[in-house]
Amino acid sequence: MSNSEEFDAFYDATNRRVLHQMYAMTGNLADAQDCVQEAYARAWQRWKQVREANDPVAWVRTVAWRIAASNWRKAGRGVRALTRLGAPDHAPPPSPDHVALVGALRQIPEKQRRAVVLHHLVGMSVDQIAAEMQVRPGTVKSWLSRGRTALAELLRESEEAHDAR
Amino acid sequence: MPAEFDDLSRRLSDLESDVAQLHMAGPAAARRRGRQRSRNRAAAVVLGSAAAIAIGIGTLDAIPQATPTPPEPIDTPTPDPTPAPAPNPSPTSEAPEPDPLANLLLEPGDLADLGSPWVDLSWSEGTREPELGCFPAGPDGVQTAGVTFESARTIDQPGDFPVWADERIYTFANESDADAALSALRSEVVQCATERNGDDFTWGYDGIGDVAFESEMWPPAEQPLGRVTPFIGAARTGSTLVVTVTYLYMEGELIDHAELLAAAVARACGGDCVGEITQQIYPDAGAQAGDPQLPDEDVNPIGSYTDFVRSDTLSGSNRYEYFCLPELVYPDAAGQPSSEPVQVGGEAPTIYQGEWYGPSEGGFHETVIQFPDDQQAAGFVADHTELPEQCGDVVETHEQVVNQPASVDVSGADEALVWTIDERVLPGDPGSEPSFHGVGMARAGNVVVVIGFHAFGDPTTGTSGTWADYAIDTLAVAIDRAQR
Repeated sequence: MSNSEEFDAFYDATNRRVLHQMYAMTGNLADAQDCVQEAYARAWQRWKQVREANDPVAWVRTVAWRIAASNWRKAGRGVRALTRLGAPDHAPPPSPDHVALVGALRQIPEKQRRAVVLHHLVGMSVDQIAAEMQVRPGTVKSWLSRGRTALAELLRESEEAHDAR
Repeated sequence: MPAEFDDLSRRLSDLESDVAQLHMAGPAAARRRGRQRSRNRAAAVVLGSAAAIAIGIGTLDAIPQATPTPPEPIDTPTPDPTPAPAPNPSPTSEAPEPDPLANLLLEPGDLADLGSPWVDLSWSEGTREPELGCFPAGPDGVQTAGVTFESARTIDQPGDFPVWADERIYTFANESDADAALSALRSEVVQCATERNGDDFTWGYDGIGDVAFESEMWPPAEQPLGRVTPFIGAARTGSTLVVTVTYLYMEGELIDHAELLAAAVARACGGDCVGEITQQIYPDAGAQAGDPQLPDEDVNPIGSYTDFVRSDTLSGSNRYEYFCLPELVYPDAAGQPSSEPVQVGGEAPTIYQGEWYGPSEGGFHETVIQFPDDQQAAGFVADHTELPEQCGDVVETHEQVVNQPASVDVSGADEALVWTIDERVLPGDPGSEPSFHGVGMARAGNVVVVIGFHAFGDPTTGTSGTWADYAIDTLAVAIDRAQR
């Protein structure tokens, strides 16, 4: 199998999964799409190294996250995520439940959001998240605890507001 | 896993239906995008060089070696017509003196030994261009040596190859100073990338010295770089710091430019500090890199209180007296930026203090103390395992109860204590409210972190746990951050 065939197979097998994860982490489909495409472009540029990595999907996800975080920092913390809401124009609007969840995710700090998604969507353990985020397990536990608490409160408020309508 | 967590996982999984409706370009588009970026970068090399020629001087964007080279590129010495006004004079531009460090530098033949694509490029020593963009200035006041190499190959020839390389060696009094310089260099690279509206991407390498990274700097997506950026590598081996900078000409894939760093480090240490090299993503520098104190997001919420924001300056208040930590009151620090260490003079440890305030009454305080050694740090904690009966001044109509410290397990800490101080209102003072002070202290090696919170009542009870729960959680993050 040639390099490009190998990369194409990797891309086809993983891009939707990474996009889904980045959507949850960024709270914005357009941002997620842009970061994921850029991350795969970078993966192709150094495919020889990436394919040898322990977990190439984690490589792409981490690069995509870095790109998103860099964009936020350049645009002003959280500004872009709060102003570019929802899906790209050509996509149908998400369901109200998804809007509530994504809206809540966007309101919690980015590190807590990333930890929550890695644990509850990707299915990674605390130790695995600590390795990927390069912090100690205790820090991950703290972020998970706070992130879940904040999410629960935000979702409860959202449901109450919905019920009151 | 509790049911509510299962529900969270399910709801996150359900987001897939939003993604399913989104069109993603295929893998060929990703490969095209990667190739296009490389071509943009290569084009920028040409444009940057052309601009340099047009104005006749070196610019931040210029790279002399990337200029379409006139004949005799190797044999022509390159005296610098404009001696370097660099912030840190280059060792190679100073008067030659016997320098044992120079023996540790690479030689042109070493670059050819790196294999493809370094081989067959006719490397020769050149002159460092002092104003190249994103070239780290390097630390001051240490012993240094450096060398610059130029390739005879010109960028009008197709291929992927380095055109220019530079190496600097710095020796420090100890590993700690070298680590600090490595960290400062990383911040410098990030700042440089940010100023160019790009982003850096940094790789970590196991197997090259004790710690190593290499930074690539990227332009905004789909945008030509518009200037030349180097790939900067740095590694510490013992108390020696090795820094390499490589300029690449690329048409397609990136080359493995860490080979230069590995070769330089191997030569600097005699070869036994470079082994099997593995690459991983380096820790994110982050927006607050270098700040040992907690970001706001890791302070909030405190029980039912939230929206605490760190104050830019220190108040110099005596709040620590009420935390039973009078030795941490620094009234002289009033008004100074909270991002700077508190100066206590002499050989004292390095101390950082921060104060957080919010819309509700109350405040949060953090002190990070970096002691010279573990023993002094442990001694500081040991001094607080037993508290006096009263802390700070208490008005006659109040009664203070100092609850003695309890040892707790904090992830990442060698030892930790938490305690609380309650101030109750005595009968006859109906207008007063009770108040609460909570303190947590954790040590990891030579670093001690102290957190303190004060408010009326006890907002940490009955909401998201007790003060101890909050302190254990927060100290774990704080001690992790304070040690970076």
